[in-house]
Amino acid sequence: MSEIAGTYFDGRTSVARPVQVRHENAALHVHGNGIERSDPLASVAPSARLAGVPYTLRYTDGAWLQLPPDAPIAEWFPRRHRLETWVDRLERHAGVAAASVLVVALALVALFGWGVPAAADYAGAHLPASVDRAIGQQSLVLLQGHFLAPSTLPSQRQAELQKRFHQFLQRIGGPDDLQLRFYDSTAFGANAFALGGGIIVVTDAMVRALPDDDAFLAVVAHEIGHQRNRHMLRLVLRGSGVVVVGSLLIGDVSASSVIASVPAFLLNARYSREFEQQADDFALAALARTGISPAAFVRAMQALERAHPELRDDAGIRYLSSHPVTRERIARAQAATRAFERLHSNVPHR
Amino acid sequence: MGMARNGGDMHEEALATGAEPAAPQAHVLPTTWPEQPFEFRGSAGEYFRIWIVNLALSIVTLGIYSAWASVRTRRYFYANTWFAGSPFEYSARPLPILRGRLIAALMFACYVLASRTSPKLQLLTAALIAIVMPWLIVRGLAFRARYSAWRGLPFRFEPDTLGAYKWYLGIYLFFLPTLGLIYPYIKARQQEWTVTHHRYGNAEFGFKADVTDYYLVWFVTIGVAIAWFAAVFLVAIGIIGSFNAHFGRTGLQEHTVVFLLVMYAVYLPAYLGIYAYNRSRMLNLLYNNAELAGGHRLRSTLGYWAMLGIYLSNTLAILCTLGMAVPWAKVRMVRYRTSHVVLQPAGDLDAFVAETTAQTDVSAVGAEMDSLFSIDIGL
Repeated sequence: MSEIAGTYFDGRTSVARPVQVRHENAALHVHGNGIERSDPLASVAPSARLAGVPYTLRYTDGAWLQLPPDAPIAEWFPRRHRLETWVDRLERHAGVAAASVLVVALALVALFGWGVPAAADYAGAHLPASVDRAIGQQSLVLLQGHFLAPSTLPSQRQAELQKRFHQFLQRIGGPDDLQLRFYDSTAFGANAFALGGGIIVVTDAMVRALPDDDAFLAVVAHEIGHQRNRHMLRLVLRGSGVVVVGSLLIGDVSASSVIASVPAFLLNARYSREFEQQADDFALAALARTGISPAAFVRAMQALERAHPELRDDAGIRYLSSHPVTRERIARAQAATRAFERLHSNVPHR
Repeated sequence: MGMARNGGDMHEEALATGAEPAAPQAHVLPTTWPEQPFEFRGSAGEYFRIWIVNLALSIVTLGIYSAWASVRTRRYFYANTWFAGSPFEYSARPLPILRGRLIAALMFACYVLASRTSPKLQLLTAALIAIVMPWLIVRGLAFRARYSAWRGLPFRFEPDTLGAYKWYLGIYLFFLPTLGLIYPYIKARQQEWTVTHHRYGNAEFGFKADVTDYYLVWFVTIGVAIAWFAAVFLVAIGIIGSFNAHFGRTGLQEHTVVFLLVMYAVYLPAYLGIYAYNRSRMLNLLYNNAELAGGHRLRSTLGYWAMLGIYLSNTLAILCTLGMAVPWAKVRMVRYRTSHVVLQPAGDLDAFVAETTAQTDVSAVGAEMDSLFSIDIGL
């Protein structure tokens, strides 16, 4: 039997002793530099195989034997570390590494494109509505302190819009517990948004920018779409899911948080765009259902674009943006308008 | 601090504690002991395969395998770090790590969720974390030390929970009254506490800190920060100005997303520029002040510009390769750090002996928690 050169550590001192190691009759024989021991293989615990890493064999008395990475440990201990022996074979295979790149890419797409959102939505569906309300109230308090001032719209106009909003809500079948609130905001300009728990905020500038009440309802219908599908809560949950799952994955690849923030940002933008599109679809259907031409949505989008020239489409930012490209939103609304007009061909064109 | 984990932290602890022995043939007693370098022998190519295969397995098993992946990764980095003719050894088992990881993930999920739903909850969870953090730090250090070894002798961390509460929580009560001026002092004491509670075999680590060194580092850090922000500000102004000149009325500020990207591109070098300074200097202080029983001293000579160059090129490479350069980046950082630490022995490195009582197992929860929450223990 051939001998292998190894290093012996007695576990009591830091002396490294070069030794010769031999495997014979299910026992491990070590000799050299004052060491002479033979132990049954069953009493020795070897480390798993790992490229470029010496083996460590541990005796029950705390002594260690270090053997070079090419020692035939797998032959001596065929039953130990089966999982890691298999993984080690994979790690040494160039084709497997290439396939792993593909697996990782596909798995990441599946995980963040489908897995995390599905899990977050599932969790969201099992959370009580009080959670949405708490989130909405908190954000409103925060916004009121800094960005939202009391509305300067005439109270008569406000009452009018409230009435139209509630009528509309009734006709599309609720939910009844939504609140529409007007605020004056220089920070947001012409804008409307939904906060968790049924609060819909429309800024004064938005009301003034819109050409007619149907366009106003189109904007509000979009926000109702967010409320109905609990988009705010789901976005919070999905964003948290990305951070948690991402941290678990990165935990071991040790990328910096600066780098990790880029994909997190892009993913959140993607989830947000998905919800915006859902809300648009809901709004277009709701308008058509109540006999309002989806052309109102087109007018609202155009008004919004006039109020915010800086948001004019820039194809380069598609994947960075939280909203779908305006041109596409308008195109979808126009398609919905054509469908609506085919159905109501007796209704004169506007 | 995120970047704290860029440099292969697993092996940093080994280095922090890793002061030891000499060549085996040191039987002819010399009067002076030659300096002993640390050496990293791993390669980016080898590690890439290990990394990508283990990452794939971790993902397809929905994270269950990640405990095995983490053990293989740490073993690779430890065992490729050689000192005085022998490699370091990482000997933790995957199953306890899996258990710790599951508990840590659950708590981390609660924290992330709470911090995103309401400011009040966020404050509450932050307070809760501050309260358990010292305990986590102790458990994390104890776990890592327990399963790190060199030449058959394990390291150990003396679990001083009271001290951890003193230096990682209590002392911060003085932060506001001193207008933050106490901060460098806190950092010095934290390093001292961490180092002096480590053992290699039965040899204790000592720490001789001159607090003025820490004040110097932090004041210069502030200076470096001012310089970087001034430079970045000028560059940003220049970019915005030329953009506005090009596109007329709708300036760059109006193109929110492009504006954000430009800010990110100028902020990143500044952030890394400040971070690299502070990190290299604090690590140098940590190693240079440490001493192992018998007078063995470490000497660390990490350079600011070299570290910054590695951080910057690593970040760029990782971004450009969509993450595929992570193994290369990590190996580079570890190799640089390892090659800039040496031990100045004061005696025979064969002379360390084990403690008389055997060590018991240490739970992995603390170690997993502090890596998830990115608690920077500064090793």
